[in-house]
Amino acid sequence: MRPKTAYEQLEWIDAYFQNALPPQERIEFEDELRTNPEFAKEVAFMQQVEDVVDDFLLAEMVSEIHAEKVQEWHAEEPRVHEAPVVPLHQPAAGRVPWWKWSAGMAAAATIAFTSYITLSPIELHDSLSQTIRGGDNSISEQPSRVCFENFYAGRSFVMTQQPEQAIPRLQQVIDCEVRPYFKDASKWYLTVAYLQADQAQQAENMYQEITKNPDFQYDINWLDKQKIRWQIRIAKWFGKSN
Amino acid sequence: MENFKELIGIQSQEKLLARLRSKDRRELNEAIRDVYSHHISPVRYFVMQNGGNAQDADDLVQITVLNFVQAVRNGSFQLQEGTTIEAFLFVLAKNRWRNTLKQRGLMRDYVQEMESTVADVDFWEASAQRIMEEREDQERYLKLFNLLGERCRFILTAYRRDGLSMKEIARQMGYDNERIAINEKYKCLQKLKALFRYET
Repeated sequence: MRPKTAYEQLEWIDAYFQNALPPQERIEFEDELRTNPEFAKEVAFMQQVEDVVDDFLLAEMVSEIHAEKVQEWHAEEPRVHEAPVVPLHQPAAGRVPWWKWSAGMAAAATIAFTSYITLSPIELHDSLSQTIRGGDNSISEQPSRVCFENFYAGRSFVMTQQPEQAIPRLQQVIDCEVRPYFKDASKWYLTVAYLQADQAQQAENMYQEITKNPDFQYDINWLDKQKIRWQIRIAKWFGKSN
Repeated sequence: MENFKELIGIQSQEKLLARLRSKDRRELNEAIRDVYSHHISPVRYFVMQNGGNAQDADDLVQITVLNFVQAVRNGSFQLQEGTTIEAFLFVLAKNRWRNTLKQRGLMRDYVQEMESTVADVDFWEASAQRIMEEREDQERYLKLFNLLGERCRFILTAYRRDGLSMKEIARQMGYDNERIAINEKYKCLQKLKALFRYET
């Protein structure tokens, strides 16, 4: 039965949206909707309200989850503004013969360097060489956008220490029809990802592929090469990468 | 590894989309958490590496997830074979971030570079653009809804959020009976209608 008051009409529309009208009344509702433009306008407004309420509740939910996740992320990130510890008294240095001092320094430097290349993360440069990979104008010729997205996502996952996410994406880039620069960069990122994932043998195989390729285009600095070689070795000795 | 394969597999992505479309708020909540846990970190990292700080990255993540879930729920987003949810999130975020950088006058080389990569017709790019435009409209209405005040917002959302009947809403609001709650709801709707009319 068509409601008579505005309140009843509101309840009628609500019941329709909630699928709570009996079949006969539902048909009546839809007839009214077709034939009464004023009523149709009212229903359209109520539909708009439903959509906005949906959006509001969703935004509220995302906001709650987001707040939790941000707390987690920030707890995981290293604190960069911690004040350095300053000793109150400098210990007095005793007199040591020069040769002992030099030998000690050399040993300390060796230990420090070994520790550094063992423990420090591999630098992953975020900027890509514009010249080598072909410049801006030709990028749009890339046959596959998916490859490109995989490349960027894979690199991001390596940088955020999520090798399980990075490996399949970077493997896909290697199989893609993209410029050699991107394939080579992907091989380097993949080596690091394998190491992060405790897959030392795969990391070594990929690194050997890189070193044996005279046309390798991605620029890896000397220190990073030492780090990866050493970290692969350590990972193979101890059965893990870190 | 098996879990991971399942996670990035198309079938699993379809499952996630189905959960994001769910009317069950608990299931939706868990699905959004999955988006945060498995698909969004490249976006955050991307912003921090492209002229943004941690706050910018967090803000962009939130709006990207919200827009994505809205697009999934209203049918604007459809998964294509060979593509990933994550790639789409990335394009969505990239577009928003590009606009932010433009507004700040910080258009940098790498942003121009990314523009050149997507200059041709691209499904994700077009889709992301369309969703952003749709969202601008919806966000206007959402702002108007927020102008209603807490009491009206509670009355209009309590059924959908907590499944409360008008009787229960009346009790929670301290009204004597259900009729008063319905009357209040009507008044809130009239207020909202006036706001919407003013906007259009």
